[in-house]
Parts: sequence; C-alpha cells; structure tokens
Amino acid sequence: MNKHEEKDLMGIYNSWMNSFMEDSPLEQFDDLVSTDIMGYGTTSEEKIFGLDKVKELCSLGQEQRKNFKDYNYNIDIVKKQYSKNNRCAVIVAEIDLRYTFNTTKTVLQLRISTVLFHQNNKWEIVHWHGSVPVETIEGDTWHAQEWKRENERLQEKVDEQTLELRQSLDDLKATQSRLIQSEKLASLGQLAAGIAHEIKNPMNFINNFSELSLEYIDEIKEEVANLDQNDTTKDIDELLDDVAENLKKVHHHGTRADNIVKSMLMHSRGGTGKLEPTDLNTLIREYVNLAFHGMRASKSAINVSIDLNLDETIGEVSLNIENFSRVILNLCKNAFDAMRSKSLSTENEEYQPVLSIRTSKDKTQVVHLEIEDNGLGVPEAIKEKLFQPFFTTKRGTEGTGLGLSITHDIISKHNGSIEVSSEENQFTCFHIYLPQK
Amino acid sequence: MKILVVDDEKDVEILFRQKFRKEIKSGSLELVFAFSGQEALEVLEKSNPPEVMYIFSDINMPGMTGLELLDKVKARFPQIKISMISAYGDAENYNKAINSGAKEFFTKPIDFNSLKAEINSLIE
Repeated sequence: MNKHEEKDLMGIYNSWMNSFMEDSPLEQFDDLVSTDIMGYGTTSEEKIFGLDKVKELCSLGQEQRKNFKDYNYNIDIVKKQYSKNNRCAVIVAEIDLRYTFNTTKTVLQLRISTVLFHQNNKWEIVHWHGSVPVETIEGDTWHAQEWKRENERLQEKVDEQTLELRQSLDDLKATQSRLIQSEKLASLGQLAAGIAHEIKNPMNFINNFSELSLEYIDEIKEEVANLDQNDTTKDIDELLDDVAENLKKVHHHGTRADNIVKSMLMHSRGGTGKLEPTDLNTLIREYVNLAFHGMRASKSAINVSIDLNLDETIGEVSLNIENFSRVILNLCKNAFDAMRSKSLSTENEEYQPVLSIRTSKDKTQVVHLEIEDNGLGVPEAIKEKLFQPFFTTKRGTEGTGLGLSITHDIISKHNGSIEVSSEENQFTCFHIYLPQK
Repeated sequence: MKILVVDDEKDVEILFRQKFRKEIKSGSLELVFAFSGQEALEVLEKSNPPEVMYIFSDINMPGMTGLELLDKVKARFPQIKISMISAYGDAENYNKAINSGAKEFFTKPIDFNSLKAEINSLIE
C-alpha cells in the first residue's frame, strides 16, 4: 500500500475511533461506516447491525460520559494488516480509558479490532469487535469457555426468573377471575335479597289463605256430615276432599317458596353477624354430629364413616357461630347427598362412604378447614358455577341452589375464602381458609 | 274488645276477619282496619276516648311508618296497647319498637296461634 492510500485509510480509521471516544455529531458516521456494518462485544447481547444502531450506541456513550469526570484515554495501535490487493484492512488498537464516576476512579482497558474495506472509491468500516482483556493463566481458550459458562449461568437465571414471572402471572390471573366471580356473586346476592323482600308478603298471603281455606273445608265437611246422607252429600264430600288436596298442594309449594325466600334473605342478614373467638374444633364436632344424625333420621339415610382429623393447636378462631354452623351443616349435607348419589349409582358393592374433616394452621396464622367426601365429585364444567345463587344439580324439590351461595357469602364475611377441588367419581373437597383474628 | 289492625296490604283485612271469624261472630272481638298510619290516627280520633284498646301495626308502610305511628299513639293515647308486625325481624327494628313502648313484636309470616293467644289474653 502506498503512502497516499495508507494516509486515506488512517484518516478514516482515526475519525472512526474519535467519533466513538468523543462527543462528535452522529452524522459523521455517514461518511465512515458501511450501511450494513456489523459490530460485536464480548457478551452475546452486544451485537450491532447497521449504521443506525452504531449511532444509537454512540449517543448512549455520549449520554454516559456526561456523568464522568476526568475523562481521558490513550489509543495504541498494536497491529495493522492488509489483504494482498490492499482492498481490506484490519487494525487492532488497545485503549486505556480513565474516568471518575461518583468519586470512583476507573481504568478500563479495551481492545478494538476494526475491519475496513476499500469500496466505492473510499475506505469504509464494515466490521468491528470490542473486548476487554481477561487475565488468566490458561489463556484465551479458557477465557472463551469462561465466557460461555457465564452465559449459561445468566441464561439459567433468566429461565428461572421467567418461570417465577409466569407463575406469578398465573396467580394474578387466578386471583382476578376469583375477584370477578365474587363481585358477581355479591351483586347477585343483593338482587336476590331485594326480590326476596318483595316476594315475602304475597307468599305469606298464599300460605295463610290456603291454610285458612283448609280449616274451612274441615268445618264444611263436619256440617255436611250432620245432613241426611245421600248421593249428593257423598259427591260434595268427595269434591271437598279434592279441594282440600289441592289446597294442601298450594300450601306445600307456598311453604317451599317461602323457604327459598328465607334462605335468600340470609344473604342480606349475614352482615350483622358479630365475630367472636370460638373453638372451631368443638364447633365442628358438634355440628358434624348434628348433620350426621339429621341425615340418619331422614328418609334417605346412608351409612357413612366420619373421619375427623382436627389439629388441636389451632386455638380460637374469630367466628359468628350462628352463621358458621350453617356452613358446616351445608357442606356436610352436600357431602352426604354426593355420597348417597354415588352409592345409588355405583356398581361397586364395596363402596364405603367416608366424610373426612381436617383442620390445620399454616405459618401465616391462616386456619384451614377441609371437608372432603368420596362421593360423585364435581364435573370440571360446573366448578365455576358452584357458588352461584340458584345453581343446583339436585332435581325437583331437593335443593334450592342457595346452600353453597350462602356458604360462600358467610365465608367472605369472615374475611376468609373457599375453594373446591374434585375428581369425578373420586372425591370432592371444600377448602376453607380463615384468618385467625 | 275493639282491635285496630294497621297494614297497607288490603288483603290483611280478609285474612284477619276469617282467622278470627268465631271470635267476631260471638261478639267478643271487634276488628277495625286502617291501611296507613294517617288513617289509623283518624280512626282513633273518631271517638273520645277512643274505643280501640289494642293496635297491631305493620312497620313498613308508605308514608308514616309503623314505628312513627307507635310514637304518636304512645304520646297521644298512652292507654292503648300497641304491638308491631313486621317482615323485618332484625334486631334494629325490634329494639326500636320495644324501646318505644311496643307490647309485643310479631314477625311475618304471622303465627296466628301466638296472635290468637295474645288476643285471647286480652279478651279474658
């Protein structure tokens, strides 16, 4: 390469280096750098492609230097190499960079290798690589592996954090859907209570008048019995019996509706229930026993083993006894129903219904109550709807569809939460979480 | 024995008249009805002293509530006994009524057996 050509080359090269080290206008790069320049640092993230990215990097450097004091540097060119046709040059420079940042003095040793091509009648920077020296006994090979290991370690950390983030995102989504769910339930509860009040009065009339008419029928029948008996009196008597039957039906269904209304009103009344420190285990023993004997005394009794596993160290829990006892009764009744349905439908003669109830306390002073049965289980599709008012799987007159809705309401008013886990034909478990105070 | 029943539901009259048919027929009980608190006061003012000895009043009524009527009756006709009948059996209503001098507090649906017992104790 002749002197003239080399002067051109070094002119371009020095401008390039200075543009990086000094606060030069960014447009300066337009004449120095190939538009598809590539640059690499030592770590995998440090990749620069194209003129715009070079400018970006440079303005970042300028921004950084604003905070530096005593900034100076020294460039020492350690190697120049040209291709045989003098159309390609590699220049390697070592740079000592010194600055003070927040009273800390730093000396940085950099090595920058630059590749230039002579194209379009001038020299252009097409590639560069920047690195910092690593002092090791093993030399460069080892350094490369160290670098790789470092990258792997970083990647592991990133993976770990990604997993954690994904987990917390899932948690957030679950919480969000629970929030929406309980919001829905709250507004439905209010609506239900409003309707209940409006329906209560007409319901009372239906029940009172049908009851009254039944009494009248009895009186009329007594009067008719005093008459001379003939075919007409016999007809009248039979008709009165029919009317009485009908009135009994009116009264029966009126009472049924009244019970639904009363349950609906529980939604609005639960709010006044005062919370008092209560021995939860004793309450559970008492009401599980009550639920069990209630079921045994009913027409549809089944044989159930009760398995209580109560942690006696949980201490007293803030409860409203009246309301919380309803929760225990409701959940036990549901469990008995689920196990009865299974024992009726199963072909397995050895099926043995078991109701398991467990209490425990975690480190955060949250008391867990689990009520589990080995009955029919809850299909995945209806798990979401389980706590909605009027949702019922019990056909006809068996259920009001309010039991679990009220249960959910009562637990909320205890500042607790309730969840269900289940596997079809295996088990259903209600998990209740209560703050101790 | 004259009893005034106050309720904005008109069918209450038919219900009471039928429930106490025998007592009315025998003349031991006379029922009068008012469908608002205002109307109840008018009934009481008709004769001096009022013939009514006992009042059963609903609490939730448009216009004057049963509890307001209770206060007015207690102030102007302290000799008349008054009991409340309400669908809202909550502690707040109950305490208000009893503290204002209500004799009894019945919740709806009315248990006519206990109501009959109360009235019969008055007749005797």
